Amino acid sequence: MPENLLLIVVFLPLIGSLFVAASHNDADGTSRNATAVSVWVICCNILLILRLFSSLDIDLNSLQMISQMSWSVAPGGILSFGTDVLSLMIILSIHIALLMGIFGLKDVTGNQKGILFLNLLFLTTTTGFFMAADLFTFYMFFVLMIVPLFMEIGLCSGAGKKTASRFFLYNALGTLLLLMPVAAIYAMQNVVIYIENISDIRLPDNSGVFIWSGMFLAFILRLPVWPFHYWISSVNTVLKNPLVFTGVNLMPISGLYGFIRFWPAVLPEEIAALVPVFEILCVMTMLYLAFSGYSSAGLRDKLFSYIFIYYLLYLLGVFSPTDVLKQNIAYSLFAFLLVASGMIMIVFHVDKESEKLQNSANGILCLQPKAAFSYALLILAGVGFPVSALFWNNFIIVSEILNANVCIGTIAVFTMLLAAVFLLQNLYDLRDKSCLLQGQEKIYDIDNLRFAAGTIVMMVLFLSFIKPLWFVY
Amino acid sequence: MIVNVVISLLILGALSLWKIRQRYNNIFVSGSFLFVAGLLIYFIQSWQTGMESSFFMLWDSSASGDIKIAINSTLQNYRIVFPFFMIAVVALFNNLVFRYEKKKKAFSTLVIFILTSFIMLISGDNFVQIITCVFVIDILSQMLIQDVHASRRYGIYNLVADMGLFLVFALMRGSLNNLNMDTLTQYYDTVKYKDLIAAIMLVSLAIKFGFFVFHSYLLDLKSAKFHRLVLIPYLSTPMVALILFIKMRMFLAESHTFYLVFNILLGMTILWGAAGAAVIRGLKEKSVYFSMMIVALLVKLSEENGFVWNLSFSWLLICGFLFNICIYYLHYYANRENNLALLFRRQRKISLALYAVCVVAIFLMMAFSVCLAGFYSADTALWIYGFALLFLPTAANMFLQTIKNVEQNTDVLSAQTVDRRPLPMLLLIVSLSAAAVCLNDASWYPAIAAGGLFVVLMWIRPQRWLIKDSLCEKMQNADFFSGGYNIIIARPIKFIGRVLTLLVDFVFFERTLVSTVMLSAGIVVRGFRQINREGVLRSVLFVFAAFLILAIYFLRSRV
Repeated sequence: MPENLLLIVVFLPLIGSLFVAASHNDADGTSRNATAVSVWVICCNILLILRLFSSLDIDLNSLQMISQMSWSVAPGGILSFGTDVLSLMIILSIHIALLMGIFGLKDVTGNQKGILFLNLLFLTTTTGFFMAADLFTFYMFFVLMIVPLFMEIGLCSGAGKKTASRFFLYNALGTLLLLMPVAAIYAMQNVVIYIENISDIRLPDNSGVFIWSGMFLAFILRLPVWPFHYWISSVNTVLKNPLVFTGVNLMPISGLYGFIRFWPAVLPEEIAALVPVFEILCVMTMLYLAFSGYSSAGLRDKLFSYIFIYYLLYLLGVFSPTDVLKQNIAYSLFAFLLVASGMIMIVFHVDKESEKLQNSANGILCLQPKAAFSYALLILAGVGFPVSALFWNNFIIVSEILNANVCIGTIAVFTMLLAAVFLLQNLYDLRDKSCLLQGQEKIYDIDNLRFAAGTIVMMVLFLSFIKPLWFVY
Repeated sequence: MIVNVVISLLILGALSLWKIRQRYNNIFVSGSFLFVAGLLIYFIQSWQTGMESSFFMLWDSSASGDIKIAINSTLQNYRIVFPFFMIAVVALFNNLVFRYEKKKKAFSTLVIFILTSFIMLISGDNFVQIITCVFVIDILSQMLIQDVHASRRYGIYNLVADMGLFLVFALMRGSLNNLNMDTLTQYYDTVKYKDLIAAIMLVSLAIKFGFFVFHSYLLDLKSAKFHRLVLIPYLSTPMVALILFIKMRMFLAESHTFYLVFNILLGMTILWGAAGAAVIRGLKEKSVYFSMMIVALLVKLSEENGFVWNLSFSWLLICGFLFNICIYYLHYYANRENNLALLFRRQRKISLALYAVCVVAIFLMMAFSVCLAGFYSADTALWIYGFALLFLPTAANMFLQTIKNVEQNTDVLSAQTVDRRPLPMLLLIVSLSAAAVCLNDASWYPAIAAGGLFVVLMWIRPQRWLIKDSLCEKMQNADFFSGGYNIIIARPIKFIGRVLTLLVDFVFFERTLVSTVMLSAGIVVRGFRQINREGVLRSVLFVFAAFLILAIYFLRSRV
């Protein structure tokens, strides 16, 4: 039964997307039907994921509830799905993040139905990716997940062809780079390869570097570490749709997840010498992001910098020579994605309303008490105050990074500090009443639905602070 | 036992989150004061029994280790908790009698939660519990300050300090692979990165204490309400720093430079505090400068006393807080005017109230001196005498200058009767001062000497000749340290960020890399188009190319 549930969770959004495609727009051009279908599908899936959690042995550190679908194209003729605490936590947080993104769509005009349709497709592919149990399924969803997002960026968000093509080219390059090692491994082994066994595979001496480099580059292109960061920073600056922005910022988790699954605790000789280089590249990117986030005036730019600093922190955690961090990364990432998606929802609203102001957005939160409350709480959680699971799991992650390399760890904490400072400064600026001019156009607060969503997210975060898996019985 | 107190306070705090009608607020505030005062009595009774116990609760466990909530009821913890408990009770009573606080219930709730966090910080023995309590006290203090301008730099400075502590604790946890502070002795043996830890701890503690160079965020508190401001130095971040300093003392001792720099900072803080308290005209700013002086002295005395927290130390802390309350009531009866230069004449009765505050201050000075005498030794003599030399004339000048300015101004405004509500508070200060004198087994001579000297100094006011008006004028709005912070830290970071964005993203990627790729792709496409056009020469070229490939293939296969 739980095995079937797994397949339902993967493919329910796909079925939902068909309903969205078939739905009619309202007379005024809005897509309430499509929105309702999307919200209900995601809510149902969240309930199913919670049900899956209760069937899971949370102490077991391997993929469980393995279910298989026959498909003649796949090696061995099957697609395998399975899950564990890490993947379920990520899937749950992605569902909640996309739900928040849908709530944020209220401020956006344009082809909402198209966005919602593609969004459910994206949800199917990401869920499939994080539940993939064998290498082929993993690779297939790794490739598939870029398609709906590419279409969202290009067709629906007004970001322009140039941005969409840049997004596609970088990600397509990543998929090609992953194709080579995947094909090579299948050619060598000729059996179904489960991803949790990937680090146990014995590779011939001369092919190790080739295979590991391909995997590394493929995942790093998704994350993206300097000098591969440009595609995502250029895409993020032009996106004006909170749902697409959320999706684009969720994509890098696929790279991070790839590293978590494939990065062996005991490193093969071929890549062991390169680890310090990877780590230096990571902290260089973190520094770059922290400085640019601090100097930038835009809300979304700051948010983008903040999100990627934390992704890279988790990547450093994965690189550290210990296996115990997987659980902490899962808990922290869960809280982090909730915080980030809540912030995206509010920032896009504040950004839109601030266009009505004559000079800057400073002081705007004084006119939006509900947004101010939610945003302040989310920032407190986001900068690492003890109101969510982010706090002490990050403490553990940072302590392991420091244990492995003090310099890298210290720079990582410095970048976290800079990110926290620029977010906090931004919050104070937005709440500074003295910057507001009289006679401004009417500024609207977030509606009750978004306020309720923000409050629920905060409650979930706080409960996760007390006990990360509070919803598991 | 301390755990019972914590549970009771948490229940009270949780109850106070319940929203009630405005008219019942006073009942709640009175009830919460009585309840906490009752808890204080229970706390003292438990302390006197001398029983020690420990309470543990598993918060969470993971592969990285168990996180426990520990509340240890040891005699040392009782001694440390006592002054904060007393300060919280006095603050709750002050809230009860104070008429200008609109959110009395919220204020009481915050004080209750801050006290609870303090107790958990003091009695905690693992890194996560301690750092959590530090962060929680910071958040609650920000809520206590309430004002956005006042809390802006307060929040950012404390965040920097907290992240420093976070880094130090994470470093220790990483090395020890254990979250418990008991294992610190192992770390003490190996002492890895001792200078790094000492440097980070020094900056973090200096920020939290509000020491010289790092104190400018405390001056921003002038935008906050006065009765909230007086609580910050004694029930907030500076005291968190004091507790952390005591908990971490053994590591810091390993670094030779730490105590040298730390003591220089202490001395400079006392000097700068005295200068600021003497020169600046705002009573709120004076209160901050006096607190800087007192906190710095307390830290020095604690250090010289081998970090033993005795009763005299507790009463010294309480007296410091009561002195702040006295400044507040000076401000209150001076028509709540912050700037001493702008005080205007009120009717005679108000001056009488101001005189009453001065008398209370004399009692307080006596209590302060008795507590201080408990720490007198050859090592501390210089610090104690130096402090007294700076503190007494400055404080005396402030009290009498307020009265003089009120009386000398000829503008007569409408009469107003004396507000009698604060009088019980002044009586409480006198009672607590008397308790401080009686409970300390020290001689009465310091009390008589300090009281007498204070009266004489109020009469002479030596600072009126020492401090020139022109100097005062220049110093009023000068903020050297925030300017330095901008020049040394904020602007360079912004500059680097902008240069990096411009250089890396725009120049390197957009203009160089992407443009080169696009250009190369264009050249290739154009080249292929050219080749694929109709023409005899191109056909010959293609045929020649095909033959070339065949020839190469043929030659390679032969080899």
